Amino acid sequence: MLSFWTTFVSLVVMICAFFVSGGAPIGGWTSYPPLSALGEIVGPGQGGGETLWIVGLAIFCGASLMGALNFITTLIDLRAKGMTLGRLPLTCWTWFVTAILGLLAFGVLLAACILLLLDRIAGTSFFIPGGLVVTDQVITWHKGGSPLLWQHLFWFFGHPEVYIAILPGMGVASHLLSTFSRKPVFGYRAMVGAVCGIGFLGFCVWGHHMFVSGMSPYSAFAFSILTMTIGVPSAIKTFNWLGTLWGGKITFNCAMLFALGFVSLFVSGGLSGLFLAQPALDLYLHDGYFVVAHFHLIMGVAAIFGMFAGLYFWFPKMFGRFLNEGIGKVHFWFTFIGVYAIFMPMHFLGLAGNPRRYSEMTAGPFLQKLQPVHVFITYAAFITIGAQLIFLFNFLWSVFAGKEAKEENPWHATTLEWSIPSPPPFDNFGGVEPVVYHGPYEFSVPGAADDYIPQHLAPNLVRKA
Amino acid sequence: MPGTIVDDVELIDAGRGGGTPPPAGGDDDGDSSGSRRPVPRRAYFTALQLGLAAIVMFFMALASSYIVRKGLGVDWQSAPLPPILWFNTTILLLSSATIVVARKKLEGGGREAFRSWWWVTTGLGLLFLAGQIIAWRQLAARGMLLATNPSSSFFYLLTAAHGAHLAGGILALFYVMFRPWSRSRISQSTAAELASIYWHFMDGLWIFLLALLTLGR
Repeated sequence: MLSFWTTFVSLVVMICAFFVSGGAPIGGWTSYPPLSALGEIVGPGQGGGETLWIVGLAIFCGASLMGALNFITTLIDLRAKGMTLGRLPLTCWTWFVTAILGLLAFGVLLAACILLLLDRIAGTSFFIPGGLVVTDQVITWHKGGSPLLWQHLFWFFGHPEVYIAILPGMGVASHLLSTFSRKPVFGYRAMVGAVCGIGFLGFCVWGHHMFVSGMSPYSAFAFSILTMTIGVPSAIKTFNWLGTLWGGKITFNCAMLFALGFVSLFVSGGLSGLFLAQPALDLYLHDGYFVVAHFHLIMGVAAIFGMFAGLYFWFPKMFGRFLNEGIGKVHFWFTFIGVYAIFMPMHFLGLAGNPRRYSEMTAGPFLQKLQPVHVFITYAAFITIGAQLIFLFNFLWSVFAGKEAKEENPWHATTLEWSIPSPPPFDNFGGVEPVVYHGPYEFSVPGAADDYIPQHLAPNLVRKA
Repeated sequence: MPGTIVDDVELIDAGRGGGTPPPAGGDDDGDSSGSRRPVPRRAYFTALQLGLAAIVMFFMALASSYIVRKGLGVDWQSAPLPPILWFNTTILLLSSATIVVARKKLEGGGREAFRSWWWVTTGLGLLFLAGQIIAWRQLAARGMLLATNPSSSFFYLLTAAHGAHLAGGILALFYVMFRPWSRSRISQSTAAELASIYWHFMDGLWIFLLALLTLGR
């Protein structure tokens, strides 16, 4: 709980940035110095706003570390009896690796934030080089620092961070594809290996965010090769998702639709990453809309689809009621088509040279020619966001008046959470420790009467066909 | 609905990590519904090791920044290390020895001896921190402040970061001394062991930082 509430505090601190004089910072989530290090003179929001951003982020580092500690310790030492690592659902495996990434990456971000804060308020020069001129004012009280140092520190955190963002969604996808195909996950051990591989390699590729920073082309080559190797475990996972579906008895409910959507978006977004991994191409594409398309599809949207899939799936467990399927399907289709409508054209904008992080796109003939694409994207965005209001309505309405989930296990799933009442008691299992006898995806087991065997079902109670 | 069976989940006594039954009304879990499974003793050690891993990453980031910033070569002027640092280091190493003695006394059943040696350790830890502050004062007296040059910046930063973590360790030492352990899920001996692992780690970290500051000049 400490981790949760500390996260809340960090959010409050960040939101405060909107309310100080100067407002919220313009430094972006990456807070590159010197812009983020010089204070008010460089622009609106770079005074108190930027400081609050950094402080909020530092508090979040602490919160994340606590959460990571909790998850990893629980997964290593507090598993239920009979729950070997080989019987862990893939949702737990992905959260396990996510927590390890968080544990190791956030410390580096915290160090970077502290150095940046010192540059801002204590007059140090970790990141600020000499000779800077800001709106006719020569900065003489800082010299010798390196903005590149910040970039290295930040991206050493920043790349594991994006895997932190996507891995849980992958776990949900695996879990739901299996459950709603009534088939075990194809290649469970390969899936686990792939998750671990993605986690490990994620620490080795931060330089691909810095291809245009003037780094040595040899370093760029190394980062490029390593980045492309992440494609291997990612591809393994993608093929295994397809293998899970193949020949399955598929139910196309909302949770499943969003899980399928996750796979689609992961592939779409992931493929453009391979282009960006080439330094020669990235020189052109960096800071353009091609990058924006890439990370939104793979991280912004695929991860969100993972969350939606999880929400539709676990809503009956949380609230004892279902989200409305009909409204949910409207939500899904508008969102699915909408995000493709928003982000696919961005690839072309990027290839045409449209830069990112501009406040307006009408200066100059080459940008003006691209305006119609921006207009289309904007309409698509309005419609897609409107569709989320449908979901919000569905959520709020279903909490109070949704169709009741009369059984504990309406999806006939196999994992432990479906053996407890909906909503669950505070300590989940009501004081009774479950014992695990089976793997997590025992669907359509030959010889069994039912098409699923819950993990906690004692072997002598499994009905034979 | 066809094919479902009412589950017959056996009540299992988890019995991991020591055979003592969980205490009634676990005081640090905030849960009032029935008894909870005792947290296995090794979970505390796992959590501590993970915390140490995170702390290592934090200090490695600072150490890398130190090396990179120094290598930029522009305005690096090695800050002279106040000699009191060597005295402080000795104090800290001594405290690692006294904490080992304290734990041995506790294991041997000598509770009073344990308390004495634990207090000595705590006192030495506080003495170390005081010494560090004196080192800061000495450096400031020579005109080397936080922003004077990058070398002094790192000196203050690294010693402050280590000092903050050590202060946390001192809080842990107080906690081991004052918490009513009879009503806890772990014994005082376990808590002392956890605190001492953290303490030795702080000791080792200080040696590393001192080496960085000395050899990296």
